[in-house]
Amino acid sequence: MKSNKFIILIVVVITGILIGNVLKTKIDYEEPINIYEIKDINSELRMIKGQLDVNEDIIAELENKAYKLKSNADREEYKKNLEHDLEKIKQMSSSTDVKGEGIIIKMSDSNDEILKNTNFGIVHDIDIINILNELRLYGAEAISVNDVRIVETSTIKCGGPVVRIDNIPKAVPFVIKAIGNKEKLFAGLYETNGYLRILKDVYKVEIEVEAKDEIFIPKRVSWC
Amino acid sequence: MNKKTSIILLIISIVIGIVIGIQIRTISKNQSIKTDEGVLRARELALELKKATEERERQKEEIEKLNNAIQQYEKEHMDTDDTTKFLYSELEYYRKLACLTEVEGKGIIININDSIESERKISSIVDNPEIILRIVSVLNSSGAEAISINEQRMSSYSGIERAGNFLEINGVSITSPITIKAMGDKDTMIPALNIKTGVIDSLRNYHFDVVISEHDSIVIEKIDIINDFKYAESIKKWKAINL
Repeated sequence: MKSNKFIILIVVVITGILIGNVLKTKIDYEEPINIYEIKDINSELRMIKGQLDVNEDIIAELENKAYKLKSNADREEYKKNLEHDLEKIKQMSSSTDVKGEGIIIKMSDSNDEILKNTNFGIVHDIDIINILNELRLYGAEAISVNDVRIVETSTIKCGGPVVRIDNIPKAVPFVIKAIGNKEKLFAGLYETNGYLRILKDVYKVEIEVEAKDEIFIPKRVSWC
Repeated sequence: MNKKTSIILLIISIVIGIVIGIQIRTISKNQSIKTDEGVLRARELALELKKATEERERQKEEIEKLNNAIQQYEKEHMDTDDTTKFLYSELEYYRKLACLTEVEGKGIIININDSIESERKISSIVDNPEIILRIVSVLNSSGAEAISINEQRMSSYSGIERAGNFLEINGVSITSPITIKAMGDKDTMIPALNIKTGVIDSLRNYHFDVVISEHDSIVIEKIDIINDFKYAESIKKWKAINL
């Protein structure tokens, strides 16, 4: 009888351990992953990879610059480099008058009698803002609206019958000049389904676009 | 052994059998989940994402280090004579104008989140780049001195482009939530944004979650790349010809 009890004891202990083990086993059940989440991760990854490429370029440029600075202990050489940098950055900050090939966009309100009392055929500030955005995307290196240089803080604001560009009132026709690759600018803005097309074909604004070999754009008017 | 003991033993054996069965089943089920292809792919992606993020951090540090080194070199050179000093101060001024320096000051931060109620990504801020252009325009009209969108400084050359599920600014893709930082006078900028039927109103009408906060000190990032001009050429002496 005693050995029998002993066997039962052992069996019970083993059972206890096994049950305990089952309860302990963490089922690290993973959330069911849906297609959206994979898409999200995927797109975030693409985004970061794009940034990595941009950063790579920046690092290469900075390394080059640091190397140059380090190597030209020669003071004259350094001064020359500094002057060269200054010219470049001056141009980048829109502080110089510039010339080059590009396009000229002329926009004016429609004279069509049918559109007389409608909102069609009128140039709004948002139209100009959209066109400026497209010009930048197609690599414009300098932009002016009615000969006011457009910089990052430029304001284009509807002021009733006029549009104020950097607080200078300008009326129709609006002449937007942009320096850059003229074929690319022309094709990008006018030939495809760009904003200008919609303005011309749907909103019936009068638009003329011209690619030119030489355009002059003045320097900025607002300084800080 | 009497009958009673053997019944007890039988019951206990059955229990043990069931328990072992359950154990084996959960383990094998777990493993089958882990080897599921979709999960593997997701895990791979997550890992890649982690690596890429770390790489980005490393690059940021490297850029910072290089920038510091360059500044150090420039200072060393600058101390030598007056013309260099003058050139250097000019350079600093135009760098600031060209958005090549980080700026700090009073300003506001606008956070735009996609609506929580709406179905996944049906209407994202990414689908409405024009509204961001309008916000930037309003900020500029109310005297903002510097603006950045998701850490991308808006320079004279920055456009906003829709590219798939992203917006691209300065060659960098950004996505919702959008954080717009603007340096300037909050008492002008905030009312200008909040005007009735203004931009923020229209965002809220589309159920975007918009929060505007004012800060005594915000830092607005700089542009890192100096443009290469291929078409535009500076004119030293401006002549009033063919304007």
